[in-house]
Amino acid sequence: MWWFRLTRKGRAKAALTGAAGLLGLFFGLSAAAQSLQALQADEALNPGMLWVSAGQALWQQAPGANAARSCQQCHGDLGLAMRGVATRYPRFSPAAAKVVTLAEQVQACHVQRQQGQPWLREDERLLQLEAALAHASKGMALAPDGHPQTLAAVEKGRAWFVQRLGQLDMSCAQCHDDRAGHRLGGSLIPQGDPAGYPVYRLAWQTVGSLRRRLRGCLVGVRAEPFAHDDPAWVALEAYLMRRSAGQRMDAPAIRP
Amino acid sequence: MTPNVLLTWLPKSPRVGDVVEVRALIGHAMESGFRSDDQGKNLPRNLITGVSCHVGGALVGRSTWYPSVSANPLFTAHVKAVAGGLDVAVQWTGDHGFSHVARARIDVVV
Repeated sequence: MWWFRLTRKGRAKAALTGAAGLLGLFFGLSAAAQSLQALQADEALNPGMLWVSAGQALWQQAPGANAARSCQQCHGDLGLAMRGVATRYPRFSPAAAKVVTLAEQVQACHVQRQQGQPWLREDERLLQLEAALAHASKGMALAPDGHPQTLAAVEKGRAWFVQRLGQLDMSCAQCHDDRAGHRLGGSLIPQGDPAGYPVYRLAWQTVGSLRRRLRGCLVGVRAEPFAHDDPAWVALEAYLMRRSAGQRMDAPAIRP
Repeated sequence: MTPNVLLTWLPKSPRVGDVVEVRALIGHAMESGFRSDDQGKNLPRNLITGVSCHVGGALVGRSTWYPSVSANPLFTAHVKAVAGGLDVAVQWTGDHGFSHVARARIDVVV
């Protein structure tokens, strides 16, 4: 596999400059079981499509107190107007004066424009909209935001990525750069490629966000997860997106 | 609450005599009753216990489901395309009086 022909330094450099995705250095799901690939590829069988179709319906409804405000009224058609939007997050939001993820942007719209009660982080409706938005960009290359603030977040995320954490004293990079493609207890170690999120994870039996996955990894190395509003989450997501720049979006992906 | 359902079929435009695969995916937790929540309290059983597929009023497939069936289960049935099209109805029934029917009209190319 291409990935292993590079030194660790080379891999990190290729990842950070965005060359990795363009050079096809990410193996995505191609190394996973054929049955999983088949499940993901067929939209009639992929259970993640339940969330996508619900999100597409929710796009046209007004779930907040402002009964006259649906997503569609401001943004237009989900499949046309929002195509490519999900490839650019996390990005700097001038309104929020910080770098926000796609889910946080949806949440901000929901609270400010639709005057709705804020949704919990893994609320079904939030996941449905996120899945529908990600699906609208299916097949497009990840094109991370180049705003200086976002790049600063990417740098912070990169620092977290190589930071040893938890009782196991392991960094993200030790698995997802150094040992990606190897096996951990029989399971394939992926490269930490976010292009398929939100994913339908068989272990969860539901669709979950990238943040939920990151949280699972932190618990996995027996580290205390960051507080819910810690900017480290966004920084890590921003770094992962930058690292996978050029990868094709394939949400909702299936993961074991 | 109305469940999310994806009712599709292959081939999309069947010809007379083709075998059509009807696929019905339903969003459901399929809570087995054997799990507990963060507080250690038992999560009550909530299952779809049966699914059936009728085409033109005739039963073409039926299945009984138990706690080991995954969440968001998929059901497929194979039917022969006949002239005049197919009226498909898939019905799920389950615990707490759960019942849902999804219908579709499959046009058959002569």
